[in-house]
Amino acid sequence: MSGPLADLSYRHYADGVVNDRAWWAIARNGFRGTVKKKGFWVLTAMSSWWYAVVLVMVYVFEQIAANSIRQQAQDRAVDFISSITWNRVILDGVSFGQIFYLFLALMAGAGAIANDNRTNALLVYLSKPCTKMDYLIGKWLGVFLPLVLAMLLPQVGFFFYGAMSYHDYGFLRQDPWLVLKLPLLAMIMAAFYTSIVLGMSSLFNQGRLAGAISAAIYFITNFFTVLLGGIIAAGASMESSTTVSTPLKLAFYGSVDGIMIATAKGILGEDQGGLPLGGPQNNLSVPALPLWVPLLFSLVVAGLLLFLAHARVRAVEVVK
Amino acid sequence: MITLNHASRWYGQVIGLNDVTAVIPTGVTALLGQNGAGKSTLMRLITGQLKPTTGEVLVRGEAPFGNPEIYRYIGYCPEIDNFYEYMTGRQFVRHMGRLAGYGRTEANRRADLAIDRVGMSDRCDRPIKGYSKGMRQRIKLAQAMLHDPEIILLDEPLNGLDPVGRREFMDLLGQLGHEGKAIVVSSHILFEVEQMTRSILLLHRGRLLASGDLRAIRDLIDKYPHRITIETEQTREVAARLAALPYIVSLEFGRDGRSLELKTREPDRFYDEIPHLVLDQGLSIDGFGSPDNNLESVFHYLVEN
Repeated sequence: MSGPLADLSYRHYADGVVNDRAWWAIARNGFRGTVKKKGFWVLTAMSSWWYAVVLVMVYVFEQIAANSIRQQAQDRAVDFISSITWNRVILDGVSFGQIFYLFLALMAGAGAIANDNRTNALLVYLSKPCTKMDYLIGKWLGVFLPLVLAMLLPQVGFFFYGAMSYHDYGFLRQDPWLVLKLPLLAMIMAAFYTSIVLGMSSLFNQGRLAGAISAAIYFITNFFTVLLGGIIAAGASMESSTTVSTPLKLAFYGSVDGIMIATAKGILGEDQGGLPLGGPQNNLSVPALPLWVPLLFSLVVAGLLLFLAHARVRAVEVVK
Repeated sequence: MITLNHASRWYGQVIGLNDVTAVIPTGVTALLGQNGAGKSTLMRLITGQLKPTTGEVLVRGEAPFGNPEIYRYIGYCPEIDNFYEYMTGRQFVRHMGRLAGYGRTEANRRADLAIDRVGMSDRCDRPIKGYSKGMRQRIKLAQAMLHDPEIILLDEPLNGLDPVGRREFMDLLGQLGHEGKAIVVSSHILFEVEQMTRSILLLHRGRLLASGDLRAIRDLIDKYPHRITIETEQTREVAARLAALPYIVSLEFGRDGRSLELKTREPDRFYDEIPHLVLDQGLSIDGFGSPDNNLESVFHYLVEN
């Protein structure tokens, strides 16, 4: 400070100042705002439908194994449960949950910056002891944390139920690291979705528009990769071949959904999902990429969008 | 408290503020100007949300741009008020308290005090989306003052307030000014500003046209004749007496036949003469006033002349 000033020692500003974590105040506000919505819990529940289906199926087969009067039926039921690859179940769960993760991300993040742009709320935020980086980190965490929660809850629920009920069928033995892989996967997926939605949100002045564009990117890229998946599957079937060229694999995983599935495959160490009695596996039949490929791709895309957000976030509209 | 030293701000080819030099002291200072005059640009320079293109802006001796520490001493009440409609007023102010760095208990305590001070205690638990314009203004002021800042900047704060609300708001600003805070109020509603302060900064097309005490500014324009309107039933008799005064420049009869408008180069001498006209010469004067005694006229004088 320079220059003489009046005695301002009576000021009370510093009373009660405990931290400089403006980003945490913003993050917590975003988190609370999202988890208070009924839609958040509905979508979270819907995203876990595959786990529910698997648990019901396993329960039914368990009952058959225990109660059927026919030995053959009992044996088949035990064989079914014993031959389940639990990581594949989770891979399927992650795959089928993608659309719900998208909706959750849109609910939590599409308006996060766009609405502030529309109402010029940044004028207030940035007039507090809060930097642009505080604001961005806070907004990012405010979307990321509810998404992690939504992604992790069904997986953790399934894991603990499986660990308690199906340890005799190899639930814990198959992959002892699964308990660590699940939060890692949830965090990577949540970070990716958050970065995309927040980046798009920063480009617009209306949350709905940002959400619509984000959804369009998701669905358009997904449409082409599903189409490509069909072509790959048909080609492999015609040639009775199981090999897929690297460019085709890259193209197949070239969508929001695809990148996340590739990441899930890499982390879970599975090339495909499905239950022993033939679960849906079409879009998971393409072999996994090395984990670093989807991670690097995610990082570049997320970094680019966050860079855009950083450039866009400012308190005033500058007239060009 | 706030110093602007040849501060200019350009938006590409458009100039927002042009070479403004001023010192804003404690107390209430009005920032006056028409739309586009540069009031908001000046406020955003002070709040550190814009960087001056040339020159410097100092708040407590420090440049505010990119200096969040200085924001601890600034409370800003922007013109916009349609944010966080889903929150209640109390939640919003508390959230702003947390943003200012306070712990939960302290933020809540300060928010409640600030809300009480702006007279919103009984209505602050309703969602902001249901608030009237006046209630929004009060809540904005509450968030601006909850951290007891030394400087409070208010962009068009009287918009939407009813007469009672305006009076209360102005009284509150006056109190804050007397507490040693620097209150900067931007407005184009001049008569309201006139009731708040005589210290003004007058902006026009980005330039600082005048600054200082309203009366001092008024003296600057005294080379232009000062208009005074007199209401009387004896228009001709009064006109005859006034015409004899050497400092009266012109006289004009009102169309209603009950008023006179005169122009004088020495208004103070004329005001001194009025009691003599009434008491010594027995003339009946029902009322008098000057359209040049308000800020509107000061603004027009300075802009047009």
